[in-house]
Amino acid sequence: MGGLVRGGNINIVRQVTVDEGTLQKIAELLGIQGQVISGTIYVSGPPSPAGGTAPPSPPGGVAPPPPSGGTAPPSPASGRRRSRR
Amino acid sequence: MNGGHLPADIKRTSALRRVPPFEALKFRPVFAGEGDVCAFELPRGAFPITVEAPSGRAMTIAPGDNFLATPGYRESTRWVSGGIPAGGLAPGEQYWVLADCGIVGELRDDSPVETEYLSRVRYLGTACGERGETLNIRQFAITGASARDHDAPVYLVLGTSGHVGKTSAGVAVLRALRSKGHSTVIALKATGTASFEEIARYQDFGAAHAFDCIDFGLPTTYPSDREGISDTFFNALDFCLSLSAEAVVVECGGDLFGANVPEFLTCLKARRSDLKIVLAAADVLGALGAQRTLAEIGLAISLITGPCTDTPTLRERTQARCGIPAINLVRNADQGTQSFLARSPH
Repeated sequence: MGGLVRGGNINIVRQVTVDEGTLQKIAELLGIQGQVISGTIYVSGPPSPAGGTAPPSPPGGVAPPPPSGGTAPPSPASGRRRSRR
Repeated sequence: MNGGHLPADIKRTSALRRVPPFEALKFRPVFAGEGDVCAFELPRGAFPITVEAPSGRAMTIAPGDNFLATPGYRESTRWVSGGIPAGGLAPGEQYWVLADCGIVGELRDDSPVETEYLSRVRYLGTACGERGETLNIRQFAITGASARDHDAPVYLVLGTSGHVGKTSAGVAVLRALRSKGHSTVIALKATGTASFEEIARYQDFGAAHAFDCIDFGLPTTYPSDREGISDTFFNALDFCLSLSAEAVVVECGGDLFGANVPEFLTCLKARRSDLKIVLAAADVLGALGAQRTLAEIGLAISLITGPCTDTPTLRERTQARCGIPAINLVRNADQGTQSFLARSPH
């Protein structure tokens, strides 16, 4: 059966643990950019004045009053939004 | 032989991993072609062999066992080569297990390196469905892209031969992508011999999906220059590029000349003009040859790795001769101290 002459094994690297520095180097050489997060962040109302309670900022509600000395933020229809790309 | 029934628990090799489970299956002693679901017997006088199960585990076929595998071709640069004789595999005849994923055919070239799957087996017959149709892995393949191209960037890993670290390089690219916040990365082993263990490594390191030629209906992408291979490659590419992903890592098994890698590169160039290419090379001459070969078809290498970077002297020579950054994946970033590596016999 068979009749094949089989030689010895050769060693093969089956698993390599690549360190973080090497991964960064690979990313740099291949031009892999950090993934940009896009979307809308809903920011709650400003800190409440001393002794008071901060009104909730319901969707579609009215913007809370500005802190003392501040200027009124824009009043979008659905709370305040900041877009980040 | 008049055929018969195959039990539901018959051992099956990983080339048939997309074939669904069955209660009982008939088989017929007819000539078998590439991808047919076939029953074989390891003769009682043979040594046990080890093949890859659909789960990826090393599974022993004991002498006297029947098991399911498929006829196919292989032109390995490191291991055995063989293929299907004209007319197909004949019932009752003996053939060879050519790859551990369960490719069976005539043996053409042997390797001096020990392989645990290489053995003669007897072809019994081809499995057939309820209506008597021959079962083939093509019937269970992915066909057609589900949506438009999502324009994900493609990172291509090529090698100067088998076992020069292409999968290790591909996994490193995957990890670099993940470390930069790419949460959905697709892996495709586009050419060569199927191996579930290899694509499972991509999944283990965070690939959202990993595919190889089995998923697109072929047990291997051999023989070289086969007709119609572009259709398979375009189907695989269009499917992978239609998935919602932030990047696609493509590994080409084999060297630059075999396994229809040139045809695949033509297909890939038709889909992406801004490829980032990582080359795994055995030595400096191989790296130079690959650089020149790729330049002839308008492709440039971005990074070289593999055994040609195994020592600082070799790495520096590779980098200087090719004019391309070269890094070693088994050493730390400063290219000084050796990182952990595990070696095991194939």
